[in-house]
Amino acid sequence: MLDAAAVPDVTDDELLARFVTVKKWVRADGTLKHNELIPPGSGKLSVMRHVQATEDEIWTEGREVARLRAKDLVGRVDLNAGECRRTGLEVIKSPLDVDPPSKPEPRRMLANPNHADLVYPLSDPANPGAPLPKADRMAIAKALLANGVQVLRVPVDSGESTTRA
Amino acid sequence: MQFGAGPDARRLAALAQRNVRRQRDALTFARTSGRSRQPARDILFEAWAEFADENWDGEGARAVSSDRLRSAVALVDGLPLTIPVPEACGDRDGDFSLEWYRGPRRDVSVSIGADGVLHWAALIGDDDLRGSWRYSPEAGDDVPEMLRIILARLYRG
Repeated sequence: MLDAAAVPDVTDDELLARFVTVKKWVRADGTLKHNELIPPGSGKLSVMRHVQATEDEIWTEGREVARLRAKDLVGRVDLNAGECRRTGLEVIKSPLDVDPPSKPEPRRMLANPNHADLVYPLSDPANPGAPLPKADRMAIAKALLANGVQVLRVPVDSGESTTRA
Repeated sequence: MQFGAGPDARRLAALAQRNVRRQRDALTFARTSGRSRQPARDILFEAWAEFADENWDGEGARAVSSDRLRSAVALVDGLPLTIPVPEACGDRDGDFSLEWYRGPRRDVSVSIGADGVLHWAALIGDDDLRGSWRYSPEAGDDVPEMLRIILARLYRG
């Protein structure tokens, strides 16, 4: 994992893992639907940078994400940071500190220096409360999956192969 | 839904199942004339039921309202029979999403949003088609013409 004291900016050649916990957002052929990449109201989507992380560390984080959502981990997709930028998203480092012990379980998060955000553009940059129209956000998410890696990888301990085409 | 073990849990599970059946049977659709695609109605209902409660994703997703299900059924009923029944799921913002997928760069999605607004995005080859339209089947609206054209193109040939 990255050194939390010196987290570098995200470079175009990096891979970013997005963890999937909604089964209906994965098609029967193992490809991901765009719905997973439509951001909530904040316009941001959490991803985990692969850089300096082992496969085990990436899957451990995935299981942590699933635990916080009280869901099963369905798998992950790996997106290329440069492709995300070419599609119109910002990719910014966003390392997470460990939540204070005062925060109750099960919502207490572990630290993750590899955390980053995919940020969707606003329809009006002067108005942070104005997201892009829904059809435009859908189109961005579709383009991202059409242009980049879209094969779902599943945890090795699930009894399935590590990729599904 | 899970209710644990024991007689009370079984009773709760039976009640929940009965409630789901009652909701499904009570669905009334704006377009009662013309053909009805019963399998489509069942498929859409079953998909919708997974997203009908708040926080279905564990991250605060909004419930998909039954109004959006009704619009989805009317929309699918209003399409030619040559267009298959789409896959359906919820979006975090409470929209109900329909997808016609034939492969990478050959898919059309429609998101049924607040106030009956349809948002669509399609990738067909290099063409990126998108738009929005207010759709009120209760008021007699037909499926938007642009959406018919896009779907016809997806399933041409």
